[in-house]
Amino acid sequence: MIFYWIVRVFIYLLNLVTAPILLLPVAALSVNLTGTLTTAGNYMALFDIFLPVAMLFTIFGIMVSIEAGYFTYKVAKWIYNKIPGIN
Amino acid sequence: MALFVALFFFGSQAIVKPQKAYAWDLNDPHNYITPNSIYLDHTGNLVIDWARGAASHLQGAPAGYLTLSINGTSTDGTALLAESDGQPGYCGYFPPETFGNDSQNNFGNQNTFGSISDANAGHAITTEGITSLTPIYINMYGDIPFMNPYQYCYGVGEQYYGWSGPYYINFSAEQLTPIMLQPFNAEVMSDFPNWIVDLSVNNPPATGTLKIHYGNIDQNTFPTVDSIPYDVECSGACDTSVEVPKSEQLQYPQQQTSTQWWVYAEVQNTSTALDIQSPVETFFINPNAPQYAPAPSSSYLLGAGLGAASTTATCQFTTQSFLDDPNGNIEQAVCNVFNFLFIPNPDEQADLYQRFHGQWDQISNRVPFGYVSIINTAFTNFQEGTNTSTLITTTTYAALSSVLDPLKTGISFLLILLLGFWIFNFARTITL
Repeated sequence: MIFYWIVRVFIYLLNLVTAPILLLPVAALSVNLTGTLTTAGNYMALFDIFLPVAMLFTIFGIMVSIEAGYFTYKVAKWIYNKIPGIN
Repeated sequence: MALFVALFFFGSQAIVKPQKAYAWDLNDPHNYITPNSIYLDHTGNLVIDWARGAASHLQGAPAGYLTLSINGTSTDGTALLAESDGQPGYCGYFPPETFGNDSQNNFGNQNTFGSISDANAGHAITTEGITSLTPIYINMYGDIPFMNPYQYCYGVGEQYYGWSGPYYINFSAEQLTPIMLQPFNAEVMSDFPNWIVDLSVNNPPATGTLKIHYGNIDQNTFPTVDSIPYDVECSGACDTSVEVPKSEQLQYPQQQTSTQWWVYAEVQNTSTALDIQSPVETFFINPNAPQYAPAPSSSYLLGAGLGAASTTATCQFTTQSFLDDPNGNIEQAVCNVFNFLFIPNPDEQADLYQRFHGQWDQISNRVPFGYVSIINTAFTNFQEGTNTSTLITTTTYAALSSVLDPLKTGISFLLILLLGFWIFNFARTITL
């Protein structure tokens, strides 16, 4: 009972914080584009017998995430420094 | 005298131009009928909840009647009929005759109607084939006003004609909406035993037959149909998952790559005589892809995938009475108390699961996160230890796995090592 309510309050707060995201539109790609992605995946699957494609994608995703995070930080810092009176 | 001249003039206008109603021409007919919602109730009646605007212009108007036509077909025989509100100041009493059904008897307020719906037999409109794109017009006929209210109050003249529309059925407020849960659009998965469809019921009960039409992209049609009857009864709006056993095998042993399939759900709702179809969705069957558990929808009841709680402690310390085994009874009582306080029961777990995944599932579909999800789904078939290549068969892959697997493992290790160096170099040169 206690645990349930603790988790429920936590989920409520989490949902409250993330609620603005629900205002964003639903991501949708056309069937053609999705099919293209799948076709590209099938092409790359040809090399999956000796090349760890999943690992490649994972590492690529990590690198992109780090770079994107760093870029976001730099942009936020640039905007912050534009505020008068802040160096 | 002037009144007679005016009435003659207006009456002549009405005769010369029967498609115009001078009384209603004073304002746009849209001002008179403002549908709040158009939907089908659980008995199949097409219902229009509406309010009358610009009521002052109809004060003293005759007790004509309203008809409703669908797709601009007819304004009489196939139309819906409903009585207009009474004008006691002119008609002397309320018109009690019912052109529509008996649910229309709230005419006390002259500014509002209740609703009009398909009437008793003989005036029912078939709802078959109505889609959200079917235009619906409300036609208004009236009688000559003011001349002799006691005489013309119930007359059904055609001197006055006006229409309002087009309006469209709001299917989001409709009784039943089928939503494909398994598979969902663009999903890549291995073969599965059952289709899963969420029936979102706004106005229960709903009974009928759920049909699944599907076929692969080569067939370019939907040759196979699986079906099952459904009967959803609940209080208020509800959602329920319906599983339809799949009759056709979607993957075969010799199949190595993804095959593309199309599917859509159709509900033949006998309680409303309405046939509703879900959008056509595409999914991919890949023998190496995982078979997903039923995905609980955002606001829907939890699917069958959660299972029973596995964390409930067994509080069975004794079977004797308290006097015979006080220690065992106390232990059991304490255990029960802690169980109650700290271990959520299956219903609570299901509730927490739903509350969390309800919003999380929605967020994962929103931009930009949704694109990641789509791309991730498209590349789901890459998994370590599996063969998705068509260069070699699974048998050959198994024979060569003693060589290929270490090769892949070695390359993976090198990639991870390079990633480590890259992160190290990134951290070393980063400027904050």
